[in-house]
Amino acid sequence: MKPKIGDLALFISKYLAALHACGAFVSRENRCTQRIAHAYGYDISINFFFNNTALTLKDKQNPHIKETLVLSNPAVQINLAELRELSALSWHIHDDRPELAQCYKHLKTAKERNIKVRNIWVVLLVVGISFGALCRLFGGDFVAMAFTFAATFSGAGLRHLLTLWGIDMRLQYIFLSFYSSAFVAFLGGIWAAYFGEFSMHIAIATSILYLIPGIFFINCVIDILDNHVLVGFSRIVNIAILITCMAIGVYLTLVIFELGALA
Amino acid sequence: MSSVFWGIGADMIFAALAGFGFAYGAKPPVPALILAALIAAFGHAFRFTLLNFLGFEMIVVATFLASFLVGLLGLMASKFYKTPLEVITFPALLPMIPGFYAYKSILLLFEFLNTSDEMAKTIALSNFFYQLFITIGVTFALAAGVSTMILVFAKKSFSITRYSNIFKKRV
Repeated sequence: MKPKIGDLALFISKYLAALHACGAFVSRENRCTQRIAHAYGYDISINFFFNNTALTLKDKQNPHIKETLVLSNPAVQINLAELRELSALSWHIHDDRPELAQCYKHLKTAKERNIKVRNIWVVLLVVGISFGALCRLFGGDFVAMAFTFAATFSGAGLRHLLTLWGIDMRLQYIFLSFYSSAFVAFLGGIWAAYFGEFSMHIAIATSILYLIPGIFFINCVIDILDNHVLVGFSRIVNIAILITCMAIGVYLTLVIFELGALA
Repeated sequence: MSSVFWGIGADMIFAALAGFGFAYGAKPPVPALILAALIAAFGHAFRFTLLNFLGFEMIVVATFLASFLVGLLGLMASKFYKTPLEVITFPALLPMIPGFYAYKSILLLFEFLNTSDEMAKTIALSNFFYQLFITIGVTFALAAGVSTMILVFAKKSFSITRYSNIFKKRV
């Protein structure tokens, strides 16, 4: 049965918000929502902006029947498991055209099933080990790996706390990149004085990389290459600001610990 | 010869660990987490081999090729697991981020600002731009390689989840 235009617009807006919140790029958001609208005999046009999304739903058989909604984009918390289910949901709707009530039920299930409450210590351990390994890939020795592990472990823990306290993201980036790099510079300096030199610069460089918004950056490039230039650029500017904040933090460490040249 | 294999093997292990960490933070389903770590290992080892054993001198081109390979492997893996391409490929790419080049750019900027000697300033500035352009080049090559794969095979990559039956089972 063809749902009312207002009801479908509301469902699509909720679906779109969920897809955006789990870190999908614009092309996917566009294609998935088009798929849903077409399944029920509607056309959809979407304008994507950095903070808002405006969508207009139009009846294919009677184009005078239209509905426009503007929604605020929710904060993004990358959740690839949810993204997978939401993508599958759009195909399920496309192929089987379930009742709208059923669609809401599936949307709720996709969200609830993928709320992953993880033990913070396990998360910190995994992050620490993986960035220790990354330090090795950059050419660091085992002492540098150990310092990277410790700096990342404690830095990621602090990040968790700062996020819980609602501290501004840019301030977080400045503080955390300073904290992690200073951690390595300070303790690494003591180690070097007593036990000999190690690849400290590589450890400092790697210790802040847990902050890199890598997936967001790749999303932006895909958006730009797929002709969603406006939103792609506005998001890339936001990422550039975060990376500048990281650079400020590291720069402060270099100034305070007078680390000028590569060993 | 054995040192070559040892080098590549070690690179794969550390890249897999790094890829696992990046993927873990993005909360993928467990099979995708394992696939991302495996593909990260192959992608990074491919770039490592190009740069260290096959005489490839341009890290940007090597990164683009490695990213393309990650996209290709990701396409096959995501078809197998019926998941969007980005769920597997994006975390797998991240061990190739040019973190140390970015750091060297900041160091050289610091050196440029803190020296009074004109010659040293010029050298620091020239090296700063070199490191900066490598950082930007590698970062864009990473994103462009996998984006090319997604957009060239757009129809395939956007319809991978079609017959996943995730929701049909629950009706």
